[in-house]
Amino acid sequence: MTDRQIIELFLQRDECGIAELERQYGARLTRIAEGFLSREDSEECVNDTWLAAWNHIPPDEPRDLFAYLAVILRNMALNRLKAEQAEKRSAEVIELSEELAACIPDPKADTEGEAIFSLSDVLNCFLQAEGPEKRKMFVLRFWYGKNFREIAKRFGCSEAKVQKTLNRMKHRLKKVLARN
Amino acid sequence: MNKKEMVDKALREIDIQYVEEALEPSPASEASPLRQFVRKPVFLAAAVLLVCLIAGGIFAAVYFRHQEGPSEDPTELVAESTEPTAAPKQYKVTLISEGNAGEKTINMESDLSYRPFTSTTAPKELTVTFQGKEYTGTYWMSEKLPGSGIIRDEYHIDIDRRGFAQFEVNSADQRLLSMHINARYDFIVAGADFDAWELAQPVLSKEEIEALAVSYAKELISLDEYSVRLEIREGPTVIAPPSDTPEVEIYECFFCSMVQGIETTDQASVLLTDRGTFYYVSALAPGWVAEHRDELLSFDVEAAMEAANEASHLTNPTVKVRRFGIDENGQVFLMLFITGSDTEMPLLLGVTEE
Repeated sequence: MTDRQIIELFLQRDECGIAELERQYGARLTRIAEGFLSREDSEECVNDTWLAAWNHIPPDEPRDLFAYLAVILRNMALNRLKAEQAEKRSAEVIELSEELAACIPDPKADTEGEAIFSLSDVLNCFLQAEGPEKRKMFVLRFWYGKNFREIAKRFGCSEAKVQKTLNRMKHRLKKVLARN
Repeated sequence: MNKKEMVDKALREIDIQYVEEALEPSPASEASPLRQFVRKPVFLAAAVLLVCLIAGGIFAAVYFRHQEGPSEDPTELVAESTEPTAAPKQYKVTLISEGNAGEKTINMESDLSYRPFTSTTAPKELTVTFQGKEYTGTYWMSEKLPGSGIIRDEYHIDIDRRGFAQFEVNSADQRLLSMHINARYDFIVAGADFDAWELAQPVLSKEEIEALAVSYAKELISLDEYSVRLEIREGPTVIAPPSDTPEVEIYECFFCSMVQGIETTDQASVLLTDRGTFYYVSALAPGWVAEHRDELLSFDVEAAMEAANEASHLTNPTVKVRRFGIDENGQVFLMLFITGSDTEMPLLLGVTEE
């Protein structure tokens, strides 16, 4: 079944849509959830994601259904971490987005108000150009909110190397954004 | 839309394939057959032999080029003497941490660089005493920090998702070098989830905080010759405290042995909150300055800076003194940052007098 057909089921309030969603994307979403949570919590979080999708489609009609579900899941996972008294981790993600915000140059006076670039397009192009290893480090850090130690362990390198790699990526991203 | 909202939106729209890709097994978690082969002693012996041959060749090439005249190679950081006196001192400039020097990216290994590794000789379990209490840890890793001249063996006491406790000892004599008790992952970057108990504690004065820091530092260093500096740690402190509760400030107390007005790696720091909660105490290379004070006092800092300047081959170089350090052979050196108009990040250099 295509994404569009699943969304149609949702629009018609047909609960078969949820079963189809689970069949199609359950395993992949659970894997992403385990990037944030324990196995048990991940399963619950994925179930909450189906419910949230049911409540939001309609009015939402996502173009990329899996990406849409992943974003819902991320928010759910962060909320769950917060609810588990792990405020530190969710606060870290907030700090991390502020850290990335520092890479965005201030708008020039003559272009203020105009949408001169789409940050997500630039970010995706930038990540594509950076190559898989650095891209993974970046996504683990800024999407999953992993700390340097966890990333270093995953890559078998020092925390200093992870930190240095990410600092250089931010530096390059800043340059790319300034050009765009 | 402000910048943070733009970033949040961009992260929401990040290509989902990258999100999934990030969870794929990385080289460290899955050893390929090639990696397994590379770990075999035969391969390692061959690799060591090959490196020695290459290093010998490079040494010979550099040596003979020096006989002919100054080199134009931007990666070569061996400086000529810079003093026009009858018996000039020689300065050897070594790269400690590579930087990105524009097109002239310099990437050289150095004996002075940061080096993490797994020790085959460190005890798998070790018990240390701190503040009268015994802590037993499991060996984790070893590392050499630039300018410390010692190997640190790290032991973990307990790890869970929210925090960990660990300590480090000097590999040579198992003397305690650091103790982290309440540290959270990325504590410094992210702040910490202080509990309600801590928020309810009275806020201490700076004098009280410093006295507490001294009591912890005493466990690792002899305090006679150290300057003390107490600073509020920048960055986030506490997350959403009740409105009538003062935020928790994090303090870092530095203890540093200074020579010629310059910091040395003989230093320690203590991190604690204004409620008195201890996070960590860590000493970098305790005690070495007292044994090398004469050498340090006679070290010609100006000439060393000039040598670094000359050896870097950067455009419009600017040299900034970082601190005095010591290598594993007991040789003191000056650590310097150098930037140029063609560098993106500063290079960290070490200059030794020969």
